[in-house]
Amino acid sequence: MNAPQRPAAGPASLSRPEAPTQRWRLKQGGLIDRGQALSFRFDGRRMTGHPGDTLASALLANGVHLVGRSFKYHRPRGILSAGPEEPNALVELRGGARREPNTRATQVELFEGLEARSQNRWPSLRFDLAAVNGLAAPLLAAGFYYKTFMWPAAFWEKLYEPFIRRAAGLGRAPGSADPDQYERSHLHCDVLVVGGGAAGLMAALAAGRAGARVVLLEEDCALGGRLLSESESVDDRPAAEWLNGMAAELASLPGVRVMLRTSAFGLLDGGVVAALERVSDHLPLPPPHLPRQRYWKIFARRVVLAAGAIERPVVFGGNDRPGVMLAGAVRSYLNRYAVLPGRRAVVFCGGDEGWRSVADLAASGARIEAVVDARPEVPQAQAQLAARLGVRLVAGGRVLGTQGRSRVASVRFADAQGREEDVGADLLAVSGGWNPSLHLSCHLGGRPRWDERIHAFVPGDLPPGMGVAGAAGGQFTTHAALAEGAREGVAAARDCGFPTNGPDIPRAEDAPRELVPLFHVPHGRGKAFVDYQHDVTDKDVALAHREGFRSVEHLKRYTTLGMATDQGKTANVTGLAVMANITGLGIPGTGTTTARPPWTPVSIGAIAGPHRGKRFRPARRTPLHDWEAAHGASFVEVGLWYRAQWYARPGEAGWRDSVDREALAVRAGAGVCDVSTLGKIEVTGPDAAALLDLAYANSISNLAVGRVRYGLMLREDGFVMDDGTVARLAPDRFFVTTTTVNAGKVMQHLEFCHQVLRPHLDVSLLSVTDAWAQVSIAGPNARKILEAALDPGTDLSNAALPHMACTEVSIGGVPTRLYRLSFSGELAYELGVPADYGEATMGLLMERGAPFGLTPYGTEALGVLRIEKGHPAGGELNGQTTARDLGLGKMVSQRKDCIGRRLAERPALIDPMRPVLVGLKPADGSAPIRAGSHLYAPGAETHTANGLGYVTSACFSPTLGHPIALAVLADGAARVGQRIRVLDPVRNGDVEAEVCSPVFVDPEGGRPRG
Amino acid sequence: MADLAMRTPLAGHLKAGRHGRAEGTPGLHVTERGHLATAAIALRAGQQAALAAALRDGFGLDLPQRPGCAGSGAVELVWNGPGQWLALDSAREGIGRFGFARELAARLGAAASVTDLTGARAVLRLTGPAVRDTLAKLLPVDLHESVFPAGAATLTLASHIGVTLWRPDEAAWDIACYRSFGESLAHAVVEAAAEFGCEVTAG
Repeated sequence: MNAPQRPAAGPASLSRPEAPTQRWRLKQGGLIDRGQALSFRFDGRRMTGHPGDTLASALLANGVHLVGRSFKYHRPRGILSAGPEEPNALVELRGGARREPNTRATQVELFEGLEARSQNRWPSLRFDLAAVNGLAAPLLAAGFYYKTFMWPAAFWEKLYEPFIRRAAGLGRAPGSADPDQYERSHLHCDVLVVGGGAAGLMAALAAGRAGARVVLLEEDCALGGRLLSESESVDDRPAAEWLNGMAAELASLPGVRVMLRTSAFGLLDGGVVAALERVSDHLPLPPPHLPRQRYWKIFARRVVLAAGAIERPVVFGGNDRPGVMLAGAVRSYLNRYAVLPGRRAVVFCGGDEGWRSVADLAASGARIEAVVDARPEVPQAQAQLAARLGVRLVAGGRVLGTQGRSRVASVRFADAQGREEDVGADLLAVSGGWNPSLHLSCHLGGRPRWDERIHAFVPGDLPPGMGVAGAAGGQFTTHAALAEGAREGVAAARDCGFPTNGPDIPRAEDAPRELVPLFHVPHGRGKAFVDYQHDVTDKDVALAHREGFRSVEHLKRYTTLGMATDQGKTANVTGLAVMANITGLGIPGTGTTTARPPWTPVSIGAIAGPHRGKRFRPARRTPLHDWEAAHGASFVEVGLWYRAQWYARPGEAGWRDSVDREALAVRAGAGVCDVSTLGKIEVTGPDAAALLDLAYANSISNLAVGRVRYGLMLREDGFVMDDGTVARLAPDRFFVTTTTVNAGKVMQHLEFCHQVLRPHLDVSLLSVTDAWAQVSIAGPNARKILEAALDPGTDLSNAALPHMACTEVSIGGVPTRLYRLSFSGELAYELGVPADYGEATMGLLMERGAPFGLTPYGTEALGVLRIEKGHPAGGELNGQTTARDLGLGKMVSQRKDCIGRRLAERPALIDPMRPVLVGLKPADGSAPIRAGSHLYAPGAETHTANGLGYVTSACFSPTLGHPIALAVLADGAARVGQRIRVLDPVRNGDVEAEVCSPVFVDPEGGRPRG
Repeated sequence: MADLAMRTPLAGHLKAGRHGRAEGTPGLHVTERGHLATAAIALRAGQQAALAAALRDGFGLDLPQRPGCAGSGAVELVWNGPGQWLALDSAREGIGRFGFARELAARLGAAASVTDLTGARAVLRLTGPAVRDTLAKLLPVDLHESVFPAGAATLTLASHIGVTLWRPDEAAWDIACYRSFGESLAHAVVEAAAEFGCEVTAG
């Protein structure tokens, strides 16, 4: 083949002619489709690649090695890896609302029209002005957040924070809403296999053939793992051929589901595996009706972790220069993508792994300038390979530094005797050994174990139900991966009740993997990076040690090592090794790195799925919702419910106009309000009354059939929990209502009372909230309207249906319940209609009620009416008030026990100086009083100790023509008639009010009985 | 006497016609079971055998003792928690449905408490090849044939909404929620089925 030419170096500019593309593409080989060219742009420059490329491989095929600038020092960065561990080649993908920062070019599949930009550079990638940060490096060393920017404090907002924000900006978030859809879904299986390499494939095959339900997750777009990147054979066939056969058989097994482009990113509580499927990330746009990404929750009885391993870089001077690449990644680019990552290569390794790259580079036509092997004695096989290829072997050597501007131009190394030498090279392949991808084994608290054999951590105690196979467990040969995969697949299937002997193990390479520890070359030339993405160097680790941050967890937080979006996949173990070298305690003695979810960055969109915007949570609508909307209702969210707040009419200037009109209509004629959202519980069974006696402060068992009682429920600690009504429909059947917001809580509380406190009671509870369209009809004309609407023959006289009575009636033959009770202080009824007939009933009521001025009213007018009447509601039932505080002390029955009764008698709760419910009206007759205001004696100093209480509810009373309020006030009864200062320091309110009875309207209470 | 029109829980919230992918046969058919007479049955203490006998004698129904459903003629029973069942009758119409709970109560006597829930639940019937894949997007229950065969039932959360899901027969999957959540559930089902194509038929 022709030796590729290195493109001329020079500043990028907009007028630059388009370079001939793919000059570094090998003439043959690779798993790419050469028959099709894909056009893409990087920083505006047009290039081409092929299907099967990643953005990284396509850039390398076009000779682009400089891909981004680093986080703190803005150093030129290239492509280190060929997988999800990439710390350097982070790019912005796409544009507009779809712009996505920090995507790993090594994972981005190339598609036609792909647009990518380098990040963190200004004005251009080649000339970055902020690279001067490199000169100010001493200011940016470890812990600079805590030191450099500490003083003076006034500088923080104006100077330091903007500086850090700009400097730290790896990419830009899009400025508008994400236009794509995301989904969540669930999967269930017997055996979940994480990783589709040699080990995972064998595990899935073994379990699948046994008949188990199997799910195989592969992060890549193709099955095969490292086999895609190595020039190997399996069963004496090229690996790719064997892989095709495996994929075909797995596809033919009905119980096996293979999911590509899917990362298992977390092992969650209960052993649920969270996975992210990149459904459309490899396409220009998501196809119609498909999401961009899908977040899977996978419930598996057994998990086989076959996630492979990640190669370790080595810490030496200039190890971040573009052209420095992991040796395994070099083979990926050569073998999988048919790209030559360099023409003149140096290989730096601590063992046999690096030599595989020597062989493959030579086979691809690259010139090997030197192999620097840290081992003083290189095994014979490798020495012979070097001799055969005519490659210079530097045994016991180490690389000290690299030179070159935006790409490696030469490499400096020292031999075993310490003699230093520079050699020209454009590629430095590095292998410090491999770290098993054991992340999932750590997510539930598992601690990895240090393995001296491979100088890496392997999974320690495994979470229940998990097995490990292949490189994820530290077994790096293909044979071991195949054998362990089959073994774990068989074991997992057996555990799930599918006995099997497992498949035959195919023949595959089983060469030894000798390795000496090679983490760090101290005293090299230039900065030596441990964490590339966060720009953490060996000196930062040493500084952390000097300053006492020696524990791994402290090291991490002090230097931010491992805390970038790559989560330290290439950094954590080397960082620990550098620290261990300083402590002299060895790696196991120095600490353990562990991993938390997520394995890979997960977009918030995927986590939210379809639950965003108005669909963030489900909505509850009453049966009358559409009728209300059609009649001009504005809605307010109360929990999940939408409630009609008021009904605006033409000519009304604002909400107050509507609310005043509605409230006055009720007092003058009649109003109808949707109260379907109130919690409704049917309590049935022979012991229903006994349970309610326990739960309610007042007596329920002596309530007669056909009567209704106001009910007050206390918490265990004696404070009021909720209020509502209790209607007795039959000796063994009660209909209980709760406030809207407490409906669920009261249901739970009653279930607790039954199931835990009184399990022997024969009673059952049923939520019937949704069974009824329930409306309140209130006002002096309420009875007349009902008489006109209900089926003939209904007697609504005071004798037949007195205040606080209930009965069954019918409307249009529909069995309907009628409760005579009042929240507004007027003659009032609640009508419960089966939900299917709610809308029609509303129409009928409005028609028959028109002559009587029937007016729909919303929750605001409802609130005004009850404040005028002094009925406690949400503002008063605030968790800090007792029955006595609210003037309801007499409701707490002394003839029986109930929850909360004893603790309500605590001295502090019966202190006569406790704030109790009072009314307030402005002393000047007009100043508004706001809820939340604090009460002080006029002239008293306004500090907390002098506080006498606070305003719980306030409104303008259209009936009285001035503002009114409810409040709790210390010694309130004695202060009626006195002045009080109402202070609202948050909103600059400061008015004087007169203390009065909380019942502003009809204090004798005659109207509801009329 | 007034003549009141009834409105099913999902009327106006479930648009008839094709949704999502327009090509090919739809993966999911959705229809509302909006006219069911519905009642809750709650077992009274020590009456398990009496209740089972009354349901067998009165309706020919085998009371599911664990999560499951049973049907006989137009009447179905769906397990709805320990000692609780939903009873459904698809033969009654209009206000005639309110007789169902009364008849149940009369036949079950002291063996159970019966409460009329007609109109209190929004019920969707799902059929088609993509039922499982659609439901997988909404709820975390294993719906594989080996785990959730015809006759199975479960209580779970679908798209944050409490639901009862049951399979009356091989082809049909019924999902019920509180009426007030109906619009949200219907939206979630149709949205989840978009990639498979979703055909909504008026109930």
